Amino acid sequence: MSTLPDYQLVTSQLTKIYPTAKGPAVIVKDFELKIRKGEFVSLIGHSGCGKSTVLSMVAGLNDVTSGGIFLGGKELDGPGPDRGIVFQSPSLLPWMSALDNVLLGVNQVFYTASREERRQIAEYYLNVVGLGSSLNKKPGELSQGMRQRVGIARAFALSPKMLLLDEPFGMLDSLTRFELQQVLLDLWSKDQKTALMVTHDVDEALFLSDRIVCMTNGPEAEVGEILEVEFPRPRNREAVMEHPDYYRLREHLITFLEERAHIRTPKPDPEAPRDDPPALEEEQNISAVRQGMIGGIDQASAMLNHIN
Amino acid sequence: MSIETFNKLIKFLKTIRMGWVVPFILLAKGENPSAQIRAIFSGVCIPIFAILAFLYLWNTSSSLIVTKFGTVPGPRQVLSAWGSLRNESRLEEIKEADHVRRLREKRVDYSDKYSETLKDLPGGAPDFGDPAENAKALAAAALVFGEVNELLDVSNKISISRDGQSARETAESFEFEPSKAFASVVIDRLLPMEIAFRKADETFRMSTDYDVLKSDSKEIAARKKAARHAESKRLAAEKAALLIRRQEITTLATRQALARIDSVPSGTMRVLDSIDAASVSLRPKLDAWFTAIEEAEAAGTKYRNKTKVKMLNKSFADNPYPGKETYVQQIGTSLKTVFAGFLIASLIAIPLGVVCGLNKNINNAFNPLIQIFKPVSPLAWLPIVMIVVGALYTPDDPMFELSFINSAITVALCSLWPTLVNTAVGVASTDKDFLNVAKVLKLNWFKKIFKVVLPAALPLVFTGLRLSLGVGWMVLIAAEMLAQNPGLGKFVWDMFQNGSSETLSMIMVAVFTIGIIGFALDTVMLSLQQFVSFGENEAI
Ligand SMILES: Nc1ncnc2c1ncn2[C@@H]1O[C@H](COP(=O)(O)OP(=O)(O)O)[C@@H](O)[C@H]1O
Ligand SMILES: [Mg+2]
Repeated sequence: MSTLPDYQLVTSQLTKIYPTAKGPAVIVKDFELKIRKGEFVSLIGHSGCGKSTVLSMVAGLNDVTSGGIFLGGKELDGPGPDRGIVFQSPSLLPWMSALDNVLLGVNQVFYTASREERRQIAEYYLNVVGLGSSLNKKPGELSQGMRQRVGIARAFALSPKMLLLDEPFGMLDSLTRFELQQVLLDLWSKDQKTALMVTHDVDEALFLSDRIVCMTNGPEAEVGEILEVEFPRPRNREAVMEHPDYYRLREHLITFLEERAHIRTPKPDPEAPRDDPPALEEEQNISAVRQGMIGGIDQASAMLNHIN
Repeated sequence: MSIETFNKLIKFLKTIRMGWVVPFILLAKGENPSAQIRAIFSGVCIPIFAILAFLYLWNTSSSLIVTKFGTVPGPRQVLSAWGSLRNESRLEEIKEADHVRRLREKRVDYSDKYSETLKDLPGGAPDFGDPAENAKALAAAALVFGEVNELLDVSNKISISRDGQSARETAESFEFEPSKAFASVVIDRLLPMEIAFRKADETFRMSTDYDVLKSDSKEIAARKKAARHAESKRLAAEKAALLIRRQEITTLATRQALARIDSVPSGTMRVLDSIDAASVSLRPKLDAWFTAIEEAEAAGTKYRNKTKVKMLNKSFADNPYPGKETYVQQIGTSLKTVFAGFLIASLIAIPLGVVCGLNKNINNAFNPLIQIFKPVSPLAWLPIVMIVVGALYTPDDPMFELSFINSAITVALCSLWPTLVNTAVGVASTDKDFLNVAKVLKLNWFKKIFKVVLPAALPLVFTGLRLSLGVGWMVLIAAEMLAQNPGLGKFVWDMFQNGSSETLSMIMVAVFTIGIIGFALDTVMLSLQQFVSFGENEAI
């Protein structure tokens, strides 16, 4: 497989099948995605459609059933520190201080650097995410938001080829979420990292991404539609929300999630091992998503007022 | 104190099972008094009430049962037995001091007698200081121990007296003032009880009133029997009270004696200490000298004072007090044994547990063995251990007693399992997120184990260690009993063997000692366990 040199990540006919009691469940089928170097791509879709599955396959923590994943032109084989990962829960080692958690990775990647240099790298990233005064605190002494900051610092400190984020702000309150989105955006633009982020927050996706990849519902989920987000960078939240395209894009995404996510672009396989969820449940899901988003906007404008 | 440190202190108190103190502290700070009073009631008053209720029930029910050793001891008798064990160790302390004193006297005496010989000592004659000063100090010490030894004998001599008159005569014959003063205490407080008991006991044994005769009717026989039973119970209670009083008197005597020994003026003490120091420094020199003489003799040169040097060498040799083990020393032995066993168990169980937790196949291989050996009692292990260790452990100059090793290994065999099982479970159930971190960072095997898996399993490992120590302590007593390791187990066995009226109280003292020490060990392990655990119970 030949890839164009400026594609950092390429997935080709990526498929994941879990063997279950009811027979093989095809979660993701023929998932095709190309991400350019330095690009920020969000993966959006209904809960359970297979976003995390795709991301964990890219991370190397989940085996690929068929198809291939190419990072910087080379096919991936297992996990490695060339991909910085931030999950919904930061999975810090609770017996180590924030600094030691970051150092654990830095020591692995920069093993040729001196002890002092490695410490400086770790301290630098912790400072950037705003934890300069909590270097020696254990995760148990930090708030959720601070722990996630450590997680972000740890991912960036590895100096990875690519960042993989799976709903990194999903468990945070909206105020902290906004702060951390900014932290992430600053770090990302400073380090020019290629990033793939899973989210189901439409506003978050719009604020951060260059492109938004909408996934169809599972089973046999695949890329439904790709949305270019061309707000100028560097971005700030206020300018993005006031951009004339903002509500059009937002409406488009919501419409996709509400109406088109369950329509497969190619013909649906009548032999699919799993039934679509019952209509009622799906409607509930959608309205829940919608309410969440509306709530999000309200909170966002409340916060903007607060800042102004 | 900042709020943060205050909260930490409270958390710390709770981890070391001192949570009941917290409401008192908060009450002193005036924080929500009614809630604190309620907390004190439920956390302090109720447990104290339960203990009091237990003591009351014990006290009232124990005297109902009469055994061949007297009544079953109540709380007061057990406390008194604890007091007599304390007396025993005080007596040993006094005897050891007297032993040291006599040794010192003998050494000074020898260094005088053989001062001519000592002039030939390589490196010159030793310096024992001013002989007149020494003599004065030694005499003072001898006087003190004269007083002490007489004092300790007072209650024995007085309590055999027939009546107050002869007791006072005996008291007059004492040489030292303290003994005379103490004699009057004994006459007042102990003698009447002794005489009364002796009389009652004799009357009971001599009296025919209780003897059932052939001619007695059924009714009379039953009455006599009942009367006999009642009288023997009354006597048993009287004897119990007498034993308590005897112990109190002995406590007074041993305390007074120790105070007298401590009251030696510091000037005299300094002289005595310098004699001891000189003796200690002389010991290796004399030893080397005698060896040199023997070697020279073998080579053909004779030294005419060889016998004198030999005598000197012998009198200055290390001569520790050969006293018997006191109860406190037996507790020490038990603790040492259980820790040795626990250490052996941990050294085997933790690495094995880690290996089992890491590899399912190894775990499957060990599992049947673990399940089979886990429930085996120490009583079954011990004979095997004794035979095997007896065959393998035969050094010329054993560093450890055989009985100690037998007990420790038996403890290890029984307490191994909780740590092994918990470590394996802890390692096997390491959070997947943590393992993913290790995978993503490509940590090597060694780093993965020591930086991720072991720390993650540590709380469970400590849970296992805590259970193991509990099992070990419980098993130890049985092991010591059979192996005759000189600890608490042997104490219980010895008490049981040479049954006396104090047997049951002594064994009950051992029961409480074992319980309280077990509780203390568990508390220490619990605190350690909390210290290494993370998450909800954050380490302090
Ligand atoms: N080990 C597994 N075995 C079977 N099915 C699984 C397994 N892991 C995940 N799935 C299924 O795969 C689907 C996609 O999951 P996931 O990728 O976590 O969704 P999301 O888009 O919410 O991140 C879900 O329906 C889930 O039930
Ligand atoms: Mg997910």
